[in-house]
Amino acid sequence: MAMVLDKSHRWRLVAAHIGLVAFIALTVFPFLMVLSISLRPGNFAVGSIIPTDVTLEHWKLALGIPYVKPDGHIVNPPFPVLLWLWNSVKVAGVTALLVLALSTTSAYAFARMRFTGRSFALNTLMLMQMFPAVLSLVAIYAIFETVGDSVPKMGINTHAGLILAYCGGIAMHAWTIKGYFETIPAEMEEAAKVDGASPFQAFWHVLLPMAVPILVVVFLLSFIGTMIEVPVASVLLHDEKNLTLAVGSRLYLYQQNYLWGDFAAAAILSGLPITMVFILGQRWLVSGLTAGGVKG
Amino acid sequence: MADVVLKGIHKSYGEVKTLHGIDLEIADGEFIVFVGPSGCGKSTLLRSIAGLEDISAGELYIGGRQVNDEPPARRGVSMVFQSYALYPHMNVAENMAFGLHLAGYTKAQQRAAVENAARILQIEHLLERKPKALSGGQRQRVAIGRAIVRKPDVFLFDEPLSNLDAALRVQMRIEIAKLHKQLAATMIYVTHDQVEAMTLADRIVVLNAGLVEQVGAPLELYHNPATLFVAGFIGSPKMNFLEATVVSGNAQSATVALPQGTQLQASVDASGVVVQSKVTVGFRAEHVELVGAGQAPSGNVLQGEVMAQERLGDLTYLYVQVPDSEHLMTVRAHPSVDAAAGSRVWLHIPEQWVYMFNAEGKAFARHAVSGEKGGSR
Ligand SMILES: Nc1ncnc2c1ncn2[C@@H]1O[C@H](COP(=O)(O)OP(=O)(O)O)[C@@H](O)[C@H]1O
Ligand SMILES: [Mg+2]
Repeated sequence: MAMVLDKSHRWRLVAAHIGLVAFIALTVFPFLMVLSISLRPGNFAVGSIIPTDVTLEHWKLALGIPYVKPDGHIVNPPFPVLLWLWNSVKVAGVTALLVLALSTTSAYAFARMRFTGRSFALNTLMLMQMFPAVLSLVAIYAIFETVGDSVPKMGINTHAGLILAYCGGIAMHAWTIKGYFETIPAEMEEAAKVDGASPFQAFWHVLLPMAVPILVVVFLLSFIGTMIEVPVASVLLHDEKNLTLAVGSRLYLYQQNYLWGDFAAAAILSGLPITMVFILGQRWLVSGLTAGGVKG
Repeated sequence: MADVVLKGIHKSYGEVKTLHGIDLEIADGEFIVFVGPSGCGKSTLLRSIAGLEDISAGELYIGGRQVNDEPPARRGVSMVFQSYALYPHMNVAENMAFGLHLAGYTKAQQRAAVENAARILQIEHLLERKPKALSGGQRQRVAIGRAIVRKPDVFLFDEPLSNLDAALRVQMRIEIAKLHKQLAATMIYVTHDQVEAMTLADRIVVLNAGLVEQVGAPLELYHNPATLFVAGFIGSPKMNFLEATVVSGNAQSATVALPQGTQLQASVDASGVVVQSKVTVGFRAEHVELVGAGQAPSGNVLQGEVMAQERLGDLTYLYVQVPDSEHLMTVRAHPSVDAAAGSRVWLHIPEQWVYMFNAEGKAFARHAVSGEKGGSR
């Protein structure tokens, strides 16, 4: 595949590489900084990026292991970080699955069915989602307090309530999936219908398998979005044992005492499930799933 | 096995009216071809029969049962799409078995049906492949295979060969004809290619702008087109047309005058024709006789100049400019004819081969020439 290249091409290649390396450094630097802070003794935000002394005190506290100071003083973990992590993973996982179920089905309706008010509904959903979630915090609080009166398991301070609140935010995902569905020729579902499939069977057996990459993307986006979400979770969750990691780790930063080191360890911990889910999801992010179905 | 009856089928997409009342009776086991120019409503009609489009007005019966409101699955039809529409995430065997799977057949029954269909279509070696690993012709076979495993009463084909190259198209055409004999099922086949229509059909339905122009056996349409549209559409090369005015006419024949005054006789039933009315006369390329320069031309002769010739080895086509028309007349001549561009020719058109159409495009009945009937199989 040796293509004949212009002489100036080499220099452009070098320039492109320099640019890319600079960009990668820009992306990676904050992460290295946080890593460095989490390994540094004491709780200081500033300092050299390569720690002179390495200590695992912050990590031990984050993982719930008591830590013995050199003077024999025992420091107990101040917060249940692992429980928070579990809460986050649970809420994010369930939310992502529900969001996926809701957004694919509504996207199917918007992409393939003709009904009155279709475009109005689409645009309204999209517009409403554009208001920052923060603006609706009061409303969300009021709604879930009322919900809690009738269904205590879904009220304030419950994970089910939080998940329900997150499921309200599917408009963007529905749009994304709808756009993808529209690239899949309708003839394939028609073929399925002639083959005897009900609309749901055509959706389930034919359309969804071809849409796997976009489903994975939506799952990842929804999972990550939930893992890092703070405003709604901080309004709905109160008890320390119920908090998500994103909300809970802020407790390290109280006004008089910023525990940057402990915060950094917890922050990195919260990135782990995201990384894992991403790596798992990546193998489904393949292209060309619809190739060969219709004429080339 | 089932017959298909269409009564006054109308279809509109909102304001756009596509089908304007189609009446048709298709016998059990018949091979019917819908033919017509692009956009005339062939696909719409086929999709209405399949149940992929709802019918705006009219009645549709399959096997004696009215199916207007039945979903596609319960009409006993299967369809081969122009784009094949194979399921890309399933291999060939799964593609073919999908309908049976939905209908609740056991794995063993599915495999038996798929293997049987694969044998008929000679795609047994492809069963494990995904559609993207197949050539166009192979995909076409799989699409047909998917249609036959379910043993439907009626097969619907929407331009199934239009994505194949010419040689493959001829081969698949022959195989589809063979398949029809083998399965003895009712087949409805849509194409814009009149050669496919002529070669495959028991009866051809010529559609034009959402209306049936004519229904009939291929040779019947060829020899006795009911309208100017059918005359121009069926047959290759296209029929030659000339504008003319009626000089006289009776039940036996008509005499018309071309714009430059040349007179032509046509053996058609022109009783009741209005003298001086505008008509169109037509003749086919193969019915023209070239008359030598020295021979005294009798009647029905047009004089013209050859603009181009195509010598194909087995025959020669001449494209002749006559003074009575701005269009070139196509003439089929003996392969030994070599008339260079610019040479003068005299075209004799026997009066029994002159077609005549009134201003509305309706044909005057021709007096049959012995031997030309036998269109119906
Ligand atoms: N979904 C649709 N909405 C509106 N008009 C349509 C639709 N499908 C087809 N038509 C119109 O109906 C006419 C017939 O189309 P079609 O049946 O596909 O023609 P053909 O198959 O003979 O080429 C065309 O003029 C086309 O524009
Ligand atoms: Mg079509």
